Amino acid sequence: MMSPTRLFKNKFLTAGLLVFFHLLLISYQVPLGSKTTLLEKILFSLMAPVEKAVVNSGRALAGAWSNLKDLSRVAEKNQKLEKEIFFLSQENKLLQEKLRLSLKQADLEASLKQVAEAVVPARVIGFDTSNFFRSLIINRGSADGLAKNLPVCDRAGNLIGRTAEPVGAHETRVLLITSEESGVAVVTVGDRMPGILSGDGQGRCLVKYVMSSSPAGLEGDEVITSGFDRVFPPGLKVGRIIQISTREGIFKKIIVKPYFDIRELELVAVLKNTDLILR
Amino acid sequence: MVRKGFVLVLGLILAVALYALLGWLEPSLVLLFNTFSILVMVTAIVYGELDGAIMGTCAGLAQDALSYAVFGLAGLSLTISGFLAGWLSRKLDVHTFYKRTVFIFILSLGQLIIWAFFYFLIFRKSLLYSQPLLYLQPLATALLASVLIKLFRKVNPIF
Repeated sequence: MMSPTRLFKNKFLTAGLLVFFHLLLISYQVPLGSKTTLLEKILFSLMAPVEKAVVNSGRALAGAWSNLKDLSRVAEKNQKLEKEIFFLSQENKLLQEKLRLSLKQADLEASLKQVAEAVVPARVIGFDTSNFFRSLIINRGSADGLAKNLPVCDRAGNLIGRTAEPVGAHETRVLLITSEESGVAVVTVGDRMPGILSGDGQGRCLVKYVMSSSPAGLEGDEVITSGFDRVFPPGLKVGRIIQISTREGIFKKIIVKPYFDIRELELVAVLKNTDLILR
Repeated sequence: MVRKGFVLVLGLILAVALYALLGWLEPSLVLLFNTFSILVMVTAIVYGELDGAIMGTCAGLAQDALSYAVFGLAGLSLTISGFLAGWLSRKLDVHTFYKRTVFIFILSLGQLIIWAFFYFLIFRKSLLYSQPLLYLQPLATALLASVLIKLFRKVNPIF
């Protein structure tokens, strides 16, 4: 039996063991698919605060510099107004949806009262560095009432994705609609063409399973959520069709440019209570 | 020994902080500047293959935690490249800036190929098509790591 010191001195053996450890780690996770392992949860909980601290420090420094430049009051007022616009645009989005569904005034008022509680504003604290069109991290978690599969919108109310595992106490991963792992039930605004929207991993989306023979869908059409998947409420703006190709197989290749811009994502809204909108 | 440990831990913390900061400033920058890869190369060439491999494991796990991907993916490629960088740098003459840069470039390219290969095996897609900036990563790693080693040796001539 080799002693630990001797084992450590055998460099090739140590390196081999480390490589074996990684292979074991990979093979342990891969069959689980999207299920989160305990190790992932632990490392997520350890790394997310570090990332949060770095980003917050960066923001604080940038904020201090900006305040110095613009004379602090202007910057503060601007931030306050931005926050207000953010809430108002979310409220407006939900209000429009309610009107579209022709709810009675009383129902509308009662629903609007709950809107403030249903929307959780959050800040983006990190991106998936292996592919930034796949997911991001926000600074709200289970302590704020967040769970898996809640829709997330940008400040203009455009859909950006849904919450996904791991959900930490104060941090949550958001799976973006531009990710290949994502799936959203959508329809076009003009001819109500249904389809499943998925990301291409490069910043654009594809509407899948629309037959080549189908006359529906035109370039320039707006795409919104249909609500059929019971995850995303109907009527959330997703993007616009930029290209349709019928040459590849039995399904059309429909490319959608999402409305949200990943570089401008700082504040997002998590729709905590989608039942309110789906009802 | 304690000093070395302190330097390595500090290096890892700096790499994590810089990686997160780059990702926040401009997400595509992390494709070009892989601070973990730079750290592993510097550690391996300065301290040797064992430290390179161990740093590869630690830095790889940190990178995987930040990328929210499959754990072990970056660790595997960084451990292998860290060990090889340390081991080969003892066998070959990599003392001049030019030779060292070419040497690190080749190893970084190898590391990227191993990573991309396992990424393809797991996710069934290649990032090399969708993220062309990745091609420049070995060059950036080689230049920055080589400069850092030069600076490190100026401060600590015993290495």
